Amino acid sequence: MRRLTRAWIPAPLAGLLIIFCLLQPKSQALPTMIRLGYTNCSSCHIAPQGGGLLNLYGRSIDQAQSLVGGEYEPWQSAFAQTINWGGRITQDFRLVMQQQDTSTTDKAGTQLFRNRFIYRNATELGHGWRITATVTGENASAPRPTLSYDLPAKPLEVFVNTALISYRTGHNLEFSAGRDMLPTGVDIADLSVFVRARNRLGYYDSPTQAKVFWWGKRYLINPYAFGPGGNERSGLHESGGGMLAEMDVLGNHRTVAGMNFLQGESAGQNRRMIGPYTRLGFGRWGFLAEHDITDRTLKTGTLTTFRQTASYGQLFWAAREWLVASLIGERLRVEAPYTEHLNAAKFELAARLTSQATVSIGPRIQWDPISGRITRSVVFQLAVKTVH
Amino acid sequence: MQTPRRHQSSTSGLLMLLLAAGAVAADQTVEPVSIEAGSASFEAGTNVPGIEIKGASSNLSGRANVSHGASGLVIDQIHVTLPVKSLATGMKVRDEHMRKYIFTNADGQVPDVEFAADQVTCRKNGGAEDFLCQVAGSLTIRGVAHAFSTALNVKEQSSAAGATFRASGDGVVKLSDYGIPLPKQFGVSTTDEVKLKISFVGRTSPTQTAGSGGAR
Repeated sequence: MRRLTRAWIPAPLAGLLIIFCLLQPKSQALPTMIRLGYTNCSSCHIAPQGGGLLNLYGRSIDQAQSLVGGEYEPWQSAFAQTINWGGRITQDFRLVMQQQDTSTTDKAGTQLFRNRFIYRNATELGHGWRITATVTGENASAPRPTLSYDLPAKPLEVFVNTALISYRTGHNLEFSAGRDMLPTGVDIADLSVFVRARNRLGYYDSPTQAKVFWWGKRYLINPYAFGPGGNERSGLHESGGGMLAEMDVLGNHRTVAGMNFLQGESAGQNRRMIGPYTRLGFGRWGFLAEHDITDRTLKTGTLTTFRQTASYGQLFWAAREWLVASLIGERLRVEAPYTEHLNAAKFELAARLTSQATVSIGPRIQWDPISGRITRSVVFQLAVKTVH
Repeated sequence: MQTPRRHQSSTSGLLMLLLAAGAVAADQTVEPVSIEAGSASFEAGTNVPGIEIKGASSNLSGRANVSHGASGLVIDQIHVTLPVKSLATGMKVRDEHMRKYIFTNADGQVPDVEFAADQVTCRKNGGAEDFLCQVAGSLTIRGVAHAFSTALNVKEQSSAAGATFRASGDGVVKLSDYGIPLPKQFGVSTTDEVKLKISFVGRTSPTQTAGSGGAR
């Protein structure tokens, strides 16, 4: 922080930054790191699926990519060694504060101030075995949208997002079983985007699952099978399987293309999803895109089959290592009898001030071409975490 | 009597051939070529799949002398320099590590990377103005010189303003050849072999070319 306040940032700007910090949130997975040649999440995250705790190397990159910058120095006191079980335990506490203001045509505006307090733990048991846990407590829930054809999982004030036991053999093969979010194409941290919220990838979707990650310099193969997480609505306890596969097309660590297939069945409906995606990086800027096609068959009453397509595109530019601006476009189409057309555009500015604090602001506009209704929202977020 | 006359005739022919060869040699004008704002990039693998260190600079500069021989292009007195400070990987801390662990010598100095070669003959490669040059010389990193070779593709373009040589090539440098220990950072270490790519444009000065344009 010394550089932030003393070196070259004038006091009024430093004040604004602090206010900005107090208003914003974000962090987690950073698919934008493709711009620097990081093709998959396992480089920096303990779990190859990404998100969650960072490994030692990831923490050094996290520090290096912040405004404060500099070298990461692991906490190595006797106390740290004790609570980290001699280096076997990686853990942190994370607080995400989010303020969202929304206004919609012909509707009253809404405000939501949401705090999430998260504890994350990864414990190495030796011989390649590891247990991973993430527990979240919150003051206000943010379930997926309630749709007539798909109800969100039940939110809980204290929610176990992740409880996995994993076995890693060698540098690039890992087996995991437990509960977690299902693998996704572009690992976008914002769970409210169409490609996530409309495909059962919300905050409270943590199915029981078994999965394999096998990756190399140019590929990642990730088959998975899953069952209900326990908090699904009646008739929506889904079981199924899928496969995510991606490769670095040009072999230059900057051009990843992949596909995610998923098939799930529950008493109330079946769904089949195919989702091509890409992550492209070109130094300071890059592009992320995903297009998910989901065919659903409702099994209540007469069989009803319809298609949903959700698209996501993000053009990002790293003005500084710690400051990334993005233009995001989204599109949703749902066929009859649940016809829905939505388009959305968002600007996002995310700043990693230190390895402990990240702030972001994201004004978004969404319009419905059928009803003509426009929804404007802005999200401020501050995410802070302990780093040791 | 015929034998001496035949001998005289052969001697005259040889003399004429030598004179002609001398005339050709006189046409081989040596032109100084300067290189400015060339680009150089590197790629270093690591022991972790998914992590590769890449860096680049657009400050490659140098000079050489170029002439045209019977078998193609002749380049000599090649001297190319790359300021270490101009190399960037996209991450400030990584740049600092690179300079510290790769390019800083025992005296704490960070000398420029230099390449020098005495003479290179380039053979024609397809088109009349395309050449392939097997360049062998000495690459100096942090003050330590070691043999280095690369295949350079050169395309020559002539105009009234002078000749332009567009060149690109690649090669491999072994850090161990320079006594550089493999850099390590929290369990991630680079491989010994680093791939290099260079690309630059060399130009003759207009005044030099004006007098020697006919040589080509």
